[in-house]
Amino acid sequence: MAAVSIHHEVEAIHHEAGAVDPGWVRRIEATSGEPVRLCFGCGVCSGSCPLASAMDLLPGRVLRAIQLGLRDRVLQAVTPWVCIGCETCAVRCPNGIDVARVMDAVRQEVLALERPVPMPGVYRFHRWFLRTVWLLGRAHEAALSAGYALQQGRLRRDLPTGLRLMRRRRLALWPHAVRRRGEVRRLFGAGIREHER
Amino acid sequence: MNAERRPLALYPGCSLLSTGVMYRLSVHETLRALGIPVRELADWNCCGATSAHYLDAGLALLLPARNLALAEAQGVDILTACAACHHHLARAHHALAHSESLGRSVEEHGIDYRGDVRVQHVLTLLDDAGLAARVRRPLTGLRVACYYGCLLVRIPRAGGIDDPDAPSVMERVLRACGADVVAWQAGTWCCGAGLAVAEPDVAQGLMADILAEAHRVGADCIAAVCPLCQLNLDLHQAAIALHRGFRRMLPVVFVTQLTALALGADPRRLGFDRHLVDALPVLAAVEVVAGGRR
Repeated sequence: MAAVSIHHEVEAIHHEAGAVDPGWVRRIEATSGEPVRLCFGCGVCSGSCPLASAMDLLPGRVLRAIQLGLRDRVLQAVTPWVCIGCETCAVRCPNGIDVARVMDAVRQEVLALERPVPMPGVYRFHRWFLRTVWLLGRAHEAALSAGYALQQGRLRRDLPTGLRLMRRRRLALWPHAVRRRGEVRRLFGAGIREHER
Repeated sequence: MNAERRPLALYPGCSLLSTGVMYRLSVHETLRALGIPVRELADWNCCGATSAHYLDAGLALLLPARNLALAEAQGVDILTACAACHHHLARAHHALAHSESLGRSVEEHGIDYRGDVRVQHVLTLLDDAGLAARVRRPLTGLRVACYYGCLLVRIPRAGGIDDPDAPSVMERVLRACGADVVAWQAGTWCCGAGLAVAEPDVAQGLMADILAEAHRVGADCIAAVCPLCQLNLDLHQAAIALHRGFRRMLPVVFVTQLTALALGADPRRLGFDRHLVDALPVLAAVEVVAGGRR
């Protein structure tokens, strides 16, 4: 019974996804540092994920699709962009897979290949965050919010929020910077991966 | 590893300079009341937060690694307050302390870290500080829901400070302060974190579940340990309450605002007037006369 349903699943997904890349799982294991092939599909990650309802492919299905080499399907999914790295999956997986790290690897592959980003807003938010870190060595909440709101064309919508925080003296405008900023800037784009251990 | 304890230096993190300013004020006031004032780590940089591991795995290791190396060079251990900073610093320490090759790769980027720094969170420090005997203003009758959020208790093998599903350290700390800690289910539920900016509808759904659970158990306030959790639940609560028909608003305070209060600190120095959901009822509940609100 199980074998039949897996067979159907594979056929259906292959039909839907087109090309299959059987070597992909090993490459994702190398970039994420996580043993994706150990996943036996229990679904605990999907059941535990607080954001599952906003995903098009449940976390466990992403792992399965990677095992099957369904690269295009995964690179197009919104799932890795919805994942915010709460690490609930990592503490619950019976095989010790940190699924959030796999999502990191998929996202970074989309960016490296310059494929379309399924959720551009989320991506731009994190880019603005890192821009302020590059500039100052520290994140600057006012600048990143303003930059993001401008780029997204929602300054008018977001401005009242900023003003509410400013009235409570909770949005520092004056930048607080690292003294040796060059040391921090050199770390950008280094390309070290945490799995190198 | 030597058993000798180095002095602690606070790693405030970026949010505590801005939206989480009450956390920074109250950590210092709590430690001062306990007679263990700390200085801050000199020239610290951003831990990378979610954005670094989201977009650049190398950066996610190197940014915290620079802070660890700074602490080692300054002869201090790191004291964290922000849950995300704690997670990323402790995780980088764990990765670097257990891998020589990784240590060599960060060295190529000018970061020399031998792996000797202890990353400790303020909650575990308070848990061991014998609080009960030093309380001067017990929080009697204040019904507090302890909200850990995600990252402080994940991952146990790499710096998580307590059981990831059923943590209890914050409950012990606040009980020692005399508070009436409520039993609830939402202690480690996710608030939506950064998605609150780009996908507010998704994040507000998660926040609404947490607030509904706090209302269900009759909490007077929520105690937070993460500046982003605090900001989300504070900033979005009015909109959520309107949408979900909550009749009461719940102040969301930092755990150290409560400990400082219990230890007798001047309430005017704890930032209770900086909340968006009025937090002065918390002071009224413990019979502190409010220090005036602008």
